[in-house]
Amino acid sequence: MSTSLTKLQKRIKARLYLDAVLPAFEDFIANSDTAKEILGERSFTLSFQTYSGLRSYLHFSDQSCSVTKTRSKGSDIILHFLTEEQLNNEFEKTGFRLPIPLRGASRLTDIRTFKALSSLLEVSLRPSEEELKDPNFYSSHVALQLGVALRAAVTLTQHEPCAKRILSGIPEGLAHFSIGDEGYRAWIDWKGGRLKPGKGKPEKEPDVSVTFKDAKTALQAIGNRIDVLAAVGLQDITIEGYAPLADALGYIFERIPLYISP
Amino acid sequence: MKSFKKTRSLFARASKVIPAGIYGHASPAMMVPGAFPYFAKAAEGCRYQDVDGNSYIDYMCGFGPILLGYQHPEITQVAREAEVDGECFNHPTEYSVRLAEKVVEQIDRADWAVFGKNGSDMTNWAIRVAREQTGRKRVAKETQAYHGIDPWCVPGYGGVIAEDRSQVDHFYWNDVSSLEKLIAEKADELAAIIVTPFHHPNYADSELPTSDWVGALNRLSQKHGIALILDDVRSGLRLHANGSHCRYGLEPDLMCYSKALGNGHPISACAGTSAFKVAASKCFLTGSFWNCAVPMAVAMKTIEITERDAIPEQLEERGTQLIEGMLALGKRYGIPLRASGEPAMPYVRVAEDSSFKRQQQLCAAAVQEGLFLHPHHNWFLSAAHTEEIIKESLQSFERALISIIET
Ligand SMILES: Cc1ncc(COP(=O)(O)O)c(C=O)c1O
Repeated sequence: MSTSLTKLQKRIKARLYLDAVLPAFEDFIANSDTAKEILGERSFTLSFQTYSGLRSYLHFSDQSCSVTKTRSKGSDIILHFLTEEQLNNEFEKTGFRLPIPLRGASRLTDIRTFKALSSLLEVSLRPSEEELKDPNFYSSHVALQLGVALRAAVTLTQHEPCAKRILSGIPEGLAHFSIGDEGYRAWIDWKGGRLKPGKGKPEKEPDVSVTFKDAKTALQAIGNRIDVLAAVGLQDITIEGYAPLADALGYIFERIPLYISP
Repeated sequence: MKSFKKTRSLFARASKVIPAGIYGHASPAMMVPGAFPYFAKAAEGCRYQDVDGNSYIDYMCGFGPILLGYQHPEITQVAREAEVDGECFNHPTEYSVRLAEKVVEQIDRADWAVFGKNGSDMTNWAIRVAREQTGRKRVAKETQAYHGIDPWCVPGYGGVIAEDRSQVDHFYWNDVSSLEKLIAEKADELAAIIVTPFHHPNYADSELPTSDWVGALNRLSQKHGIALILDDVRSGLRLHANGSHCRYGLEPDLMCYSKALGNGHPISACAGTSAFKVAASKCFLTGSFWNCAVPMAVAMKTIEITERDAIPEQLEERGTQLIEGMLALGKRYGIPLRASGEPAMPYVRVAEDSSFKRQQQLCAAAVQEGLFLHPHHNWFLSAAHTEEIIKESLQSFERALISIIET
């Protein structure tokens, strides 16, 4: 696919990796004892950069991670990519992707730690069928995936003309997504020309509430792998309230796999 | 409680073999899934039954086509008579000429007419005629207006490419300045302005046209040689027996009809002024079933009855009775309601309910009481909605309101 992408599409893809996928480290490390163990007492900042100016900073410390778009202090390790395509290749493990370690090449232990965390995160994002059979694993996988999807929707509506157009025709509102009665909850607020995502139950009454029967249905719906209209008729997905907002967000979620499959 | 057992099992079967299970405007996702009927079984007058045998007074009328009532005796008789001669022919039948004559006689500004099956057939063709006539490409439509399922205007994004919409411009309803601005920028490129007689978007109140708006549409289209297309598919014959433009003073060049025209039989029509007849003759138009006689025979009868029985006036009276009754009940039970649109095609909803959640509760409760009211789409009355039916409907509506008071 990547060879046929336009320059804009490559850039959007790179933004999605930086702004939607990398922040998954935050939840991942917060919820994984193994990841915390690997990180141990280490504290370092690693940044991904492209020559064109895209940036993302991962700050690891206190057995947690925070991902920012701006620098709060200097990076210990800088992975610099000459092109956005090379950055995309790094995430997809294809093609030419050698980043230039502008700084920190000698911080081998930190680089090794980051690689180990990345491999673990990747397993959580792209698990095998076998791994998915473990219910605990499954729910953490779903939470990570949905987190990526919500952030990706934000990125798309900021940078992708089609996603921008989809949302521009919809009145502002708050959408709440949940799985089952007790499970995962997240929201997206469409206000002032921007989408803002959040975890948990929103503070005010949502304009539309979308409830997925179970985690599998949620993943399939967000990943554009099931007939959502049929699922709504069957009540595997319930939508209460201002459905055009959920529809618009649905159209935007559908666009994510055009670029990335985290 | 009404049971939807068969509904559920039929939908489960449908979802295996039909994309979306039920697609388009009848999709359960458009209503209140789980609390609404999905499949119809039979209908008569103003009532229909779903596959579970639940019965409803119907305020959607098949989403518009049923103008005189389901299985109206005169319509049924005409259909039977026409059917005797055959189904679908190599040639048009005499009915097509008689129907065109009838349309020309009945519809104000119409000098000719053509026939198809669906509203979309006609809105699309009318745009081609406008392009042929003007030698221009672009089409202007109201942002939220529905004109059919072709890629230039279909709601949603599935299978639509940016190029499909590259010749389409938008304006806002009743917003003269948005239209003036568009025309100032693109008058020389605009082939057509397409409008519905009044504005009836989903998930919003309906809006009647202001006289300024009608004046601007007439003035600007005429001044700049832009074809004014009236999409009367939804409202045609409900608001005025001579075409909805007569109700508002609109002066369209091309007028599109479907829905009520055949009282449930598949037929649509585009009528136009003589100035557009040559252009119309050049725009190829056909379809497999377009020479069927029955819908044409039925359409003639429908037009005749509409005029004879003053159907639009009847609907207005009954619609007003319904709206006033509902608003009064809303007040009585402390659930403020808001009515919009035309009485013949009203839309009543819970006021101050931007999420539509209360409205969805109310319409789901109405279904339980045997009233089919759409939560997000304008409703339709038919001639079968008599004064007694409206009274009965209001009693059911009252029970529905009471049932949601505490929720
Ligand atoms: C205003 C309007 N225009 C066009 C159409 C399209 O008509 P059809 O569904 O018969 O193609 C509709 C259908 O609902 C309509 O309401």
